[in-house]
Amino acid sequence: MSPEWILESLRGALEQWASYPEPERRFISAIGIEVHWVILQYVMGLPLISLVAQLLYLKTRDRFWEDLAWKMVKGFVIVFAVGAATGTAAEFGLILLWPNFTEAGGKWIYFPFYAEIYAFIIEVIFVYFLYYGWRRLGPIPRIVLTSLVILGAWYSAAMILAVNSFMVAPTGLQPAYTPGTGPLYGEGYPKITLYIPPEVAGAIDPERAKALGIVVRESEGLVEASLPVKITYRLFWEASKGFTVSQSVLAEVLKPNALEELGEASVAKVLDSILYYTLEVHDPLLYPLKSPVWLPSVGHAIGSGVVISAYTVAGAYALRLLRGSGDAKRSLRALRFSLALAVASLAIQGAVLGHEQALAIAKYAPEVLAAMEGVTDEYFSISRHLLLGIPERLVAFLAYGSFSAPLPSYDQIPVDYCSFPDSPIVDCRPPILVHYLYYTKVGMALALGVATLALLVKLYRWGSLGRRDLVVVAASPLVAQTVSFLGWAVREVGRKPFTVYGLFTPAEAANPVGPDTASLALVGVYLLAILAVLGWAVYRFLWR
Amino acid sequence: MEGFERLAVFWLAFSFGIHIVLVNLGIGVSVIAPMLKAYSRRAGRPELGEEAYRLLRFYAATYALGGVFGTAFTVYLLSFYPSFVSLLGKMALYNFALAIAMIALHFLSLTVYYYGWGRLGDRVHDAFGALLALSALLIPLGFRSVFAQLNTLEGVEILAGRVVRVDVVEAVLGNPTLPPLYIKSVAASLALTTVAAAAWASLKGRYEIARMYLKPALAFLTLVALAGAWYGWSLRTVEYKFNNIFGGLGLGGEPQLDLSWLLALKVLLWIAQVSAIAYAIARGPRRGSKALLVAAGAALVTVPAGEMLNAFSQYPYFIADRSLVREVLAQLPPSEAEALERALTLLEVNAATRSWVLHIYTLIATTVLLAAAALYAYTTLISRKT
Repeated sequence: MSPEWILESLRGALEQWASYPEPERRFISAIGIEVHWVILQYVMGLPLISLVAQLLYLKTRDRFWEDLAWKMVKGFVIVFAVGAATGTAAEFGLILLWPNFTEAGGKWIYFPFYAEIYAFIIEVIFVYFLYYGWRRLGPIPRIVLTSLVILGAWYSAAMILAVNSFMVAPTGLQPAYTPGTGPLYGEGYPKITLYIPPEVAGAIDPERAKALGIVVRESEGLVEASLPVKITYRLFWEASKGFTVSQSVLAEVLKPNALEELGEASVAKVLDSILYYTLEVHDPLLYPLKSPVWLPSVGHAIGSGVVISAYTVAGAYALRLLRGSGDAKRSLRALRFSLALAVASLAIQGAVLGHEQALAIAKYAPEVLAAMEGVTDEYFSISRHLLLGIPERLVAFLAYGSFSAPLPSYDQIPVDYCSFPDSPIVDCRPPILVHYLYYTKVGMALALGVATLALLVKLYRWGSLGRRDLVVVAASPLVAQTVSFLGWAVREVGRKPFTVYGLFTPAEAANPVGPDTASLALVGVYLLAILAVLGWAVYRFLWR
Repeated sequence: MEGFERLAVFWLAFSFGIHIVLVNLGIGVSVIAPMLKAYSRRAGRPELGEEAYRLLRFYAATYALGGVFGTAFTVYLLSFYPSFVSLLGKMALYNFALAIAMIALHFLSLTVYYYGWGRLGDRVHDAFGALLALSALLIPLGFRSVFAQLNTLEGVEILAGRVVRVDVVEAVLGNPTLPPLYIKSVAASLALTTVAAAAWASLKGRYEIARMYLKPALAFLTLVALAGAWYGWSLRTVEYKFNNIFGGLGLGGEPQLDLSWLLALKVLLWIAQVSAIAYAIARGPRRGSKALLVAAGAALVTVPAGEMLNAFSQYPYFIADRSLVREVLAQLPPSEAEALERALTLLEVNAATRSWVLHIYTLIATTVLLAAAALYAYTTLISRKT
């Protein structure tokens, strides 16, 4: 384990990440989405903190809690509006940079986007109702309105995460690894199950299909086909290139007479008919919600919102105490409350919500688990080469219930398990970069938890914190945001080379007439500059 | 057209109708409030500064509501007509990019200007006010240039049915229907805002403030009429649309969908506004307060009526210039031409949205939420009870 090897591994990891299609556009999209995410977490967390404070006010009639609740509402209103603006930018960014993805999303998994609109309207109406009506309403109506705001915010998160979860693990995905069987790439896995409409099913020769790893079954009058992602991805790629059936891999699975009949039909049309039929079997509204990683993702995201919000409130009060502004006694009380909430929510986030998320990833995205845990000897692995493989065994126990269960090996994932001749993807493995991002995230989260727990104990024991401790608490929101940022980066980077796993990559999703790298960089700088001034404005007008 | 297509078009028109009224008020306020505030200081008339703040407070309270209905429109369009949205993303990439860049700037300037009121130095505050006005004027330039492209495409090279090149300047600014459409839109925003603000002020007994708005309102309404006529003239090369608007009045050819009645309604609403304002100028805002309410009501209907006229006069086509579309389709093999033609009309919604559950869900959610919005508006803007 020489320093040169470590540096070489890091360089290799970055080169691998950049080798996937459209790195510049992915980077600009990442800025937009991460910025939106930084703000969204407050939208999910601040109303909950306000609700807790309002309930405490209802119980104690202590004005302190009412003031705290009002401050959270004020903060929420401004971050919500900022979030709406960054969300609009992200939405248009999606349409402009990745129009083919938006088209596919609009066709087959539109419902979460559609339903999210009502979540957004719920938020808009009740947030402003609460804000502008605060002084005219009693405690109970305020609690009702705050609960509706929480409903809107969490419902919104759940819908957007349904789309994102589908992108990570689409409905019908059969992974290529279980601890019992080991890797199943040789049998054509991972596969995606689709339903074949009768007019296409009759044209398929099951024996020819089998030669390509496609398993066709018939049950209860429905024809179901499990297709290797090598095939599903190829079909999407062929559709994007305007191929006809006779030019397609489909020609290899059709009966000869059917090929004569369908040969000139476009692959896009056949693919459309298969996907619409699959939607019909599942129910078009529920299809995207059946992604197996959806619910754990929702829990983990909401948990993150609460953690970040609690740390930010604690950090803000620590800053107040450091600056000597406001009533020190009240600030200390608010600090105690928010820090306790931060530590408790971080513990739940790590031990329960994060664990559930990890279980889903272990089961349905084993390649990503292998990359995250650095189960490799090809690259420098923090887990293997620095921590003596202990985390691997721990993960094996948490994921599969046994310390000795084997984890999926990154080195055993075939580089070409999803690719085909002419495909824009050379390396099908998720970028090993996620290992370094993930371990940085986990390390920072552990350090944050331990440090803030110690400070909380100190605060309860001695009733106050020293200047150095307050500086640590004031800096804690930045650390927490970095942890969360890295978590989202692991999810997004870990899905590469795919945009939607097994279906298409950024190469097919991108706008063929988009701007050049320099223009994209300029847009990125412009958006970041606007965000910097906004951050200053929020701090100056809201907090001070 | 079948039931699901009718419903899709209804939801699109409905969300856009609400969005456009709130957005027009927002543009008007963003231009007028900073000017009023700066003038109030120079003229030593603090009541004008208070009026500017009132306008701004209204905008801050309704900004997100306007935005959310705009988002709803985009999502409906994406859900019902995904292939068209994909095409639009390629054809109008730079037009949208201008609008987004300005939305970000507008939001920043609104936040700083609103929350910085009384907290920032005059010079800095006025600078953000100027940014607020400028960005409010440039957002519609981006979006209207998209509408102009939907009249007739400029600066977009299409080969074998695929967009292969976009000339940024031509696509964003080179469309002959853009200048009148843009000027008309901005003038309409200012007319609506001044008329509504005058009516609101007179209703609240602030007659001097109401009086201040009347002559500018008349001037903006005159500009709307002139730019409207220019826009109509600019559409003469887009036969299908021109005939649908003017054909029923004996101008142009036979209309496929006669919407001359909507044009006539718009003209009548315009006349009602002009007459009511002229009456209020002559009799004073106190005696003319009822007339001002009529003018405000007419103004609130005129804006969506104008938008519906512009949109439905090219119905069922997303791109009104039929000869251009025919040229593009002729380059393609029949099966691809058929698919592209389908994507360019509103006649066939995304098959996955053919669900009654979806529309019942939309109806219930929209009704409940609009009722809540009305309660919100009543509680915060009208009711004085605590």
